[in-house]
Amino acid sequence: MDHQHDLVIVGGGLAGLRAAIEATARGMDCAVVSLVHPIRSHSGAAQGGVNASLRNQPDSQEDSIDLHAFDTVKGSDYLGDQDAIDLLVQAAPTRVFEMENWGTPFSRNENGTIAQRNLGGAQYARACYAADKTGHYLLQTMYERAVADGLRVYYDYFVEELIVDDNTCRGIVAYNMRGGTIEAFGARAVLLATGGAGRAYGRSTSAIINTGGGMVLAYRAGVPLRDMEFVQFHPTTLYGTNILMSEGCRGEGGYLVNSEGERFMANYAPSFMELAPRDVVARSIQTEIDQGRGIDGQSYVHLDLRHLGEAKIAERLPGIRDLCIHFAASDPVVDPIQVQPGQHYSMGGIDVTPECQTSIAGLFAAGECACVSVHGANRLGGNSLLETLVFGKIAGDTACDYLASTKSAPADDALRSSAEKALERRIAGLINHDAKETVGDLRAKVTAIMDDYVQVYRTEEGLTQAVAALRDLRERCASVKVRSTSMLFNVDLVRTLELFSIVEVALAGALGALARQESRGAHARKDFPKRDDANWMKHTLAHFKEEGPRLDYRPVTLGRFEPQERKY
Amino acid sequence: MKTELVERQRGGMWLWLLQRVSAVVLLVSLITHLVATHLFNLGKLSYDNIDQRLMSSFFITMDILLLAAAIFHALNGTRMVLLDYKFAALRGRRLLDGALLLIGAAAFAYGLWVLWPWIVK
Amino acid sequence: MPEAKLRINRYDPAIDGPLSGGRRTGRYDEFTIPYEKSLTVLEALFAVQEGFDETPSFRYCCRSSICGSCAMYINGHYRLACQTNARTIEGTITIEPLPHMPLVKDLVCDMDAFFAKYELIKPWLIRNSKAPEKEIHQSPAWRSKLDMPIDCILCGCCYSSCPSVWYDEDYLGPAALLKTYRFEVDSRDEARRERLPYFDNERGTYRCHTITNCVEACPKELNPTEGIQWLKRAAVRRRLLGRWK
Repeated sequence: MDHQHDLVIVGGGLAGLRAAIEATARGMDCAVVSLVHPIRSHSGAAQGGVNASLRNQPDSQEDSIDLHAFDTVKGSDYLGDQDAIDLLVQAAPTRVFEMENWGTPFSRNENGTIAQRNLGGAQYARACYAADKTGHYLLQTMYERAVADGLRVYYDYFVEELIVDDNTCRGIVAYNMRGGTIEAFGARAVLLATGGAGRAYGRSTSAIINTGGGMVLAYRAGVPLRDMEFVQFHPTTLYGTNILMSEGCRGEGGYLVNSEGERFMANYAPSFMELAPRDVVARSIQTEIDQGRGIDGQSYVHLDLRHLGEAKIAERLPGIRDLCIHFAASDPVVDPIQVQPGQHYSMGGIDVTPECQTSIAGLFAAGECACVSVHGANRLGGNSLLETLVFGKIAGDTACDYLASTKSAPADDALRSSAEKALERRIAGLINHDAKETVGDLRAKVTAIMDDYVQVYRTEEGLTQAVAALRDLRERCASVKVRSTSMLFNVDLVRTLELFSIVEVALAGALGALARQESRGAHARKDFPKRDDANWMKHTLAHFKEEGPRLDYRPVTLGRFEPQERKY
Repeated sequence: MKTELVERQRGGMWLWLLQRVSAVVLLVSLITHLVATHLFNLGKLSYDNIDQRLMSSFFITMDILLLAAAIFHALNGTRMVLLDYKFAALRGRRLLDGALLLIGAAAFAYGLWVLWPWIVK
Repeated sequence: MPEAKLRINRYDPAIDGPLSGGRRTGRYDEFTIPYEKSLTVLEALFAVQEGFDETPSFRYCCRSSICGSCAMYINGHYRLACQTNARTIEGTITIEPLPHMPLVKDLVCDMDAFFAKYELIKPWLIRNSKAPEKEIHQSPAWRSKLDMPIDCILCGCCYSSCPSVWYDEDYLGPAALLKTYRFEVDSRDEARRERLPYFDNERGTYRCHTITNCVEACPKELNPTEGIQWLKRAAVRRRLLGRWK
C-alpha cells in the first residue's frame, strides 16, 4: 500500500476531526485513520453540554472566564496545570461560537442565544447544551465541516503500531479490516486522538472500542502516561448497563434519593447538593450504597426526575427518557431512574505539553487520550467536550508549525514495508485456532479486578492485590492466541490486540493509585483520606518497561489560584 | 452510486407538480363526467343525449380537461414507475421521454379530433 | 435460567465465493446462549464470539443506540442490535445483515455508497453573510423544526428498507434526503440553489413515492418521508415563488 500524508490523525472523534480541519485550513495534506467511521466515535455519546462563559442565562450575568478557570482548578482538586486551564477557558467562547456558526443545533433561549445549563462544580450555568445529546450534534457538525473541507478518511482500520525512527515519528501501521491487509502509512507527523480507556472496567459508560489503544501506542514508544490513577466515575450511570445518565438530569433539577427517601447530598455537599463535582457525588452515592442505604439494599440509588414533569423532560431530556425506556424498561416521567457510579472518563493519558506535543518529535496527542492536564484529579462536566474543541485546534496548529519547520521525512518505502512485514509476522504468530485460554476470560478477569479494587474508594490492600493480579494477567496475555483465522474483518484479532492495551492501562492506573498515598479528586484512599499537598502536589508519570511500569513524578504547574480546602 | 449521473439528472419538479395538478383536474373532471353520464343520465344514454351535453361549453371543456389530464397523469405515472426500475442511463431516458411524448401527443390529437365537431360548434 | 436461541446469517467470501449486490448465502449458524436478567442481541453476539464461535464479524461501538454501528435485520425487523432485548422476542432470534446492502462478511455491510450519498448533498451549514461575532440567533420555534432530523444516527435502516433504493442504486435515499431537509429547514442555513440540483432531481426526491418503509424501519422513530415531501414543496416554493423556507 502506498499511503503517504503530511499528517496522519489516529481517531476520528471531535478532537481528531477538529485537528484535521485546522491542518487542512493551513494547507496540509492530512488523513484520519479510525477503527470506526468518524460519525460512530464515542464523542457522539456525550450528553450534558460544552462549557463556555457566555453569560446567556438571566442569572449567569456574573459569570466570567476567570470564574470558569477557578471552578476548573478547584474541580481538579488543584492537580490541573493552571497554564493549560487558562488556554482551555480563554478559547472556550470562540470555539463554541465557531461550532454554532458551523451548524451545531444548540438549544435556544427565547432571545435566540445558545441556552446554557448548570453542570456539577460550576458556580454559574455555563454548559451550552443541545437537548441532552450535545456530543451527538457536535460530532455530526464537526464531521460535516471536515467533509466540506475535503477530509480523507480511512475507516475500519485498526492502528496497531507507530513507526518511530531516531526518536521521530514517521508513520503508523494499521490492520485494514475490510481489506484483510496490513497497511503502513508514512507521515511527517502523527496525532493520536483515540479517546479514553474506559473498557479496562466492566462497569463503564464507554464504548466497547475505548480500550486505551492510542495511549498504549505512545506508551510503548517511550512517551510516559500521566496521572493514570485518576479515573472519573460518573455518579449516575444506569444500573445494569452502566449507560450514561447525563449530569444534565441533575442540572435540570433532578434529585438523588436513597432508600430512606432522603436527598442525601445534603450530608456531603450542602451548598452544591446534586451539582457538586462528579467525584464528590460519586463518593456520596458509593457511601450510601456501602452503608446499606441503596434502594432495596441493592447497589444503586434513585435519580428522580418525576417532579420535572413530562413537558420539561420531553424538551430538555428526551434522549435520557428514550434510554431508560429501551434499556431499563422504565419511564423517568413516572419512575425514578436506578443509578450507580460507573467509569466514565480518563483524566490520565498521554503526557503532552499544553501545545499537545509529546516527547517524541512528530508525535502529538489531543482529547481524552491526552493528559495536558486541564482536568487534574477530577473533570468538571462540560469540560471534556470543550477540551476536544480547544486542544483539537491547538494540536492541529502545533502539528502544522512542526511540519512547516521540520525537514523530517515520512517513513519511506523500505521502512513502511519492513514495518508492515513485522506486524504481519506478529499477527501470524498470534493466530492459533486451537488455543486454550480465551480472550474473553482474561478480559473479564482484568475488568473484574478494576471494578472491585480500583474503584471509587481504594485501599492499600485492594490495590496491592490488584497490582499483583494485573501483573500476572499481563504475563498471561503474552500467550493469548487469536482463534479466528480469517484476516477479513477479524473481530477476534481486534479484541485480542485491544486486550493487550487494556491490561497495560489498567496496570499503570493501579500502580499509580497504590503509590499515591493521599486522596485527591477522583482518587480516594480509605487509608489516606486527606489531600496531602506537601508530598503529592505532583503528576504521576508511568514509563513503559517490559517488566511493568516505572513511576516518577513531575510538579503541578500552579498559577493564580492557591490550593485551598475543597468544599462544596 | 455514480455521482456524475446524479448531478446531471436535475429537474423533475415540473413533472411532480403537474402530476399533482393533473390529479386534481382528473378528480374534478372525472367526477363531473361520471355523475353527468352515469348518474343523472342513467338509462337515457344515446347519441343525441351525449350530443346535447357536449353542445354546452361547460361539458366540452370538462371533457377536454379530462382528456388532457388523464393522458398526462397516466403517461407521467408510467414514466415514474419505469424510471424506478430501468432507464437509469441518460440516453435510455431520452428515448423513453421521447416515446411517451409521442404517444401522449398522438392520443391527445386523436381525442381532440373526435371532439372537434363539438369544439367548433 | 432463560436461554436465547440465535440463528446468525453467515457469509465469508473465502467459503461462499463472491456475492453480488444484495444477495445472501442462506447459510445460518445456530447457538443457544443462557443469560440471567436480560440480554441484548449485541451482547448475545459477543457471547457467541467469546464462548462458542470466534469467527462471526459484526460492527459495534457505543452499545447505547447513539452511534448507529449495529443496525441489523432481526426477525424481520430493522433494529439496532444493542437496543433489541432477547426478552422481547419469542422463539428463535434470526439475525441478518441489513437487507439489500452489499456484504463484506457475516453481518458487516459495505456502507461506502450510503456515506457517499450523504456527503454529496453538501451536508454542512451554508452561510453567505458575514460571520457574526457570537452565535447566529435562532428562535426556539425555528429550532424545534430541527428536532426530528437532527436525531438521525446514520445507521442505514431506512436506506436498506427503501424499495426505491433497492431498484435504483443511484437514488439518494431517505437518509441523505433527511440530511438535506435538516439543513434546508435550518433558519441559519442560507443555501438558495446549492442543494437544489441534488434534491430537485430525478434521482433525488422524485424517486420517493411515500412508501414509508423508512418511517417504519427507523430505530429512532424519525420520519424521512415527511422531510422528503417538505423538500418537494420547497423546490416549488423556491423556483416558482422565490421563497426560501
